[in-house]
Amino acid sequence: MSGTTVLNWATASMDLTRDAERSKTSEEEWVARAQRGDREAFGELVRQFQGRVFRLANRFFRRPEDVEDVAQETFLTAWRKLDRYSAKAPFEHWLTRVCLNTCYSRLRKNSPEATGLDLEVAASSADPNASIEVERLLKQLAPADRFVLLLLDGEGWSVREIAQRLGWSVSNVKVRAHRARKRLRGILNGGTQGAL
Amino acid sequence: MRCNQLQKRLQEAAPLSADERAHLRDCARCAAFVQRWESWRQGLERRGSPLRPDAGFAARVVASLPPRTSPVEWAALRLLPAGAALVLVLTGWCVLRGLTPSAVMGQVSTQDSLTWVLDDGGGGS
Repeated sequence: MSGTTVLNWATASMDLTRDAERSKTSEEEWVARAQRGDREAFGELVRQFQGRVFRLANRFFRRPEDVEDVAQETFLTAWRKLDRYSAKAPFEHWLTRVCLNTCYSRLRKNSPEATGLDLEVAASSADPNASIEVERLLKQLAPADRFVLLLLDGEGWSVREIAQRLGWSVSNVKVRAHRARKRLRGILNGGTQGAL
Repeated sequence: MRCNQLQKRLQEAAPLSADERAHLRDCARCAAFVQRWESWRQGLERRGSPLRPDAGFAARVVASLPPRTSPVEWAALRLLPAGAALVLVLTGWCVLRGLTPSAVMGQVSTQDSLTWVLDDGGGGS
């Protein structure tokens, strides 16, 4: 590696560190201002994290209107509970927890028909047949099982990661994961629907 | 039982032993399960294209925000039901005893309290 390359690499690395620090500082400032009731500061946080919240909500809900409702509810809850956020963990982690809890309670509240199967959305995906079958499988699962399996197999999170992000105990997630996987095994072996 | 154990390990993405791999080759049920399981996993990964918020989403959220309640106001609001319950209990107690509010207040007049204290003090050990 030449001297110039090393120098360029070091400069770029320092720039990145400075950018990350700046973004963290501004995030802390936005949060502090929002905690004092500044709506515009909260709006900035919404703009910063809306993509992540949409992506996560979209994991559990297929219809665009449901995803937007969940995202809106997530931000409203975050606004109401902003006092409970202490800057010990990144704001994004706290918001992820709020979003997951919103998704979970909504999944449990809604009927499977409202959340599990959306053939129109599935049919418009890259592989319509596989998508429709996945939606059918999901519909056969109880909301709690669906929630855990979407995090385990969809997001690819480990039991420990799920526990950490939801604020649940590891043993609680283990029990839920065990039950959900067992039920999925039953469905996959039972052949109650067409082959995937 | 063996099929169940093997399928469980597949779901947990645990590495399979040589024995388990041999079972997988011979067992039609497990082979079918692997196929369905893989389709399920890949189907979830490819599940639709992620939705993106439209340009006006943040503005709509900000417009719908209720006024923020300060922690002190929250504490007061949370104490409100407890205060109301206390008033109800006291009222119920008075009604049960057949006491009017003025009678209750009269019972604890300063003079009575003083007399009670003096009497008690005089007759004590």
